[in-house]
Amino acid sequence: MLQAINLTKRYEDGQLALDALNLEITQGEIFFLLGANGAGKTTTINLFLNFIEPTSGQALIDGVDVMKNPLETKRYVSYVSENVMLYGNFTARQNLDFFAKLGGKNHLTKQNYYDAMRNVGLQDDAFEKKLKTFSKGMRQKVGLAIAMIKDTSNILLDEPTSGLDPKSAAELMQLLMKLRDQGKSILMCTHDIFRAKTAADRVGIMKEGRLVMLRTREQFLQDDLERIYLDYMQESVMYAETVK
Amino acid sequence: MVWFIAKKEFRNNIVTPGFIVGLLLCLALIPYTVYTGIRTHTNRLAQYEVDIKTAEDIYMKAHTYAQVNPILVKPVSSLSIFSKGITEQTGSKVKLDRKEKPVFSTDIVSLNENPLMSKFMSMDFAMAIAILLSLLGILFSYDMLSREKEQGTLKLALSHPVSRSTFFLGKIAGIFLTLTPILVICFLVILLIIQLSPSVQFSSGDYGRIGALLLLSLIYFGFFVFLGGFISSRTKSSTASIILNLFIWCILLFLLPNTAAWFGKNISPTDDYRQVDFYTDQIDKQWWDVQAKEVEEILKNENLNLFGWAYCWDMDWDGAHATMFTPRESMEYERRKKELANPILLANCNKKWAIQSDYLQQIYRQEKTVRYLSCLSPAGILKLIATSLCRTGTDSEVHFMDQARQFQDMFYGYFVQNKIFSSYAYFTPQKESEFPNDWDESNEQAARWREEAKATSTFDFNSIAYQDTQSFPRFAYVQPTLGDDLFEQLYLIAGILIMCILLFWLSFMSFIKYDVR
Repeated sequence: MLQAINLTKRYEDGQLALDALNLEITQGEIFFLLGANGAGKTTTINLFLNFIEPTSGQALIDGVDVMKNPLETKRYVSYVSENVMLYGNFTARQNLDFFAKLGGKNHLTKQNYYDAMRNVGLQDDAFEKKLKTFSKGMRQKVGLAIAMIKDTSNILLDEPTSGLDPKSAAELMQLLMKLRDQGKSILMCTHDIFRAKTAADRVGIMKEGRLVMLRTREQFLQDDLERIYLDYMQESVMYAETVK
Repeated sequence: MVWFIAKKEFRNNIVTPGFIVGLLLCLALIPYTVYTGIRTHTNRLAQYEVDIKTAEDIYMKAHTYAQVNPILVKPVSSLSIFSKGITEQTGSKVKLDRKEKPVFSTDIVSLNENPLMSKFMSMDFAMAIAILLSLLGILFSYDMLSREKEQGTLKLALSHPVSRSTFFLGKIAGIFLTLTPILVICFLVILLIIQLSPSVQFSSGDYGRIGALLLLSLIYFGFFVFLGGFISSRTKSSTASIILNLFIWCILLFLLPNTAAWFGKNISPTDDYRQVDFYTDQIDKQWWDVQAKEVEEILKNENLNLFGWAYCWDMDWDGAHATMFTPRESMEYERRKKELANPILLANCNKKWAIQSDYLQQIYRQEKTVRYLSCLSPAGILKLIATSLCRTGTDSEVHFMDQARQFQDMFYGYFVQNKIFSSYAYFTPQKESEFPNDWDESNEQAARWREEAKATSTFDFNSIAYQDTQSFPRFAYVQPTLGDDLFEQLYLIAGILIMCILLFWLSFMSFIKYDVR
């Protein structure tokens, strides 16, 4: 379970990146955090991963405070970034092996790695190829396989579909739903409203560091999510122009 | 976990172009410098054998004690194959002369420049190590953090339950691990070259020094790894990091050591050696103008007269150093002259030393200033410690010359104590009882000797017996121990260690606070 309690981040230059975010993503839930660039989506993920320290508030993973026990909370969470690069001189399997062991999984076999890569839809002939020969979609799949092999109860994804072809993106959504069904809490930050409509259990829209809208699946399927999102974005543009 | 990350770093590094280029450069340059070092060492060793033989002959083939002017030869260090130091410019032997204490070696190349200051850019193993290890240290570490950040692996790695300190230490250990195959391969090649060179023989103490040199090289490598790591954590991109690293590398490796020599010469200037020559010449002039005449006066007052020599060779300031068949009266004149002259010459020698030592202190001071300024560069420190460990540095030269002067005091002290200057054996192989009483007897003795000895010429002295010099002091150069050398270089070792620890701490703290986003 992922929890943000009054989570606030103000950078040294005074910019308020996150303003008292309150959020709870329960077990077996996919939460889509939508918003424009700079809305605070990635800051939220960075706070959950302890890459930055909150100005105030708490980020909890499975009830454990990220600030107080960063190493423990990292055992409970996997992370897939927007642009998975990994070690180009290593094969896909070697990358998996490195990150699995980094996550404390020391007894996995080659077969485990192959299975994980198959599960994310990677072709068998790519398993022992060097990462530097992979396309972005293939690297993204390896990134997902790394998250899967870590086998945590929580998954954080930062724009994972960006740059993926529609087929790969659809496969990713299928995989996330499968993981959700296994009881995992998934927080996905994205601009992709179409994928949100497909897979999200709840959707939140962020603007200028604040969570300005929260809808359950039933609610956003009834409403026109695209219209709501665009309205918020438009408001943001109008506001920006007024300020100018 | 540190070891695990280090292994990953190692596997990742050894396939990079930097590693391959580094390995090839090391393989080309390091064995080559050792090979040329061995060639120079072999030549010097051959010269050493000749010098030692000559030095021994001086004791064994002296017809008179006055002919025993020992040559002191500095042993050739096999370790010089690793660092030439100042050996090529300072010479390696000293010929003792009771009229003057040795200031520098007899075969010194030039006194125009301070001979105790080594030329920084002379290429040898130590210099190759200084260039290559620093370059490799930077190549392996300049993108230590920035590359991980650029390729997104840093965020992914730190999203796992691994602390930043563990990750950092793993990466540092991985870089050191990457150097291992390069060192091992180079070491094996060097070992092979040494095995094929019979002139190079190491004592167990030498192996200790090689071990110390290896350890020092690793500390030096560490300095540049930490420097690269620190810059990597303070720059936004790998390109900026490599540019800054190379800029600092150029300053540390080339600019600082060379400007240190220039600044040292200006901060701590020395007199011209010709000035020293001028003042010592004054003392010599005093001998010829005053003291020698006073000696003659005393001899005259004692009614001692020189009526010439029959067979005489090796003339010196106190008269003949070898004569035979000379009538008794002239022999007594010679003996008394030497008895009177030599204490004055020895006293003059001490007077000259007061001037020479003052100059030498200036030379030492200048060398020390340059040495301290060189400490600003880790390459300068490496070179100074390496020359000390290989016994080719200033300390070794100063140590040798100090011992040579001590030996000179002891040697001529022995002459004074045993009244050798007053003895007939000092200047003639003939026994006192055999001295001719007049010139007729002198001619007779000479004719008989030529006939018996079948002398091929007037000066064929091969048949003349040599003096027994067994009891004369012999020079045995006492090498400083490894402990002595390390103790003397303690401030340099401490300096480079402190720099390393400081850079490690800075890069570590910088990484702990590194913005991984």
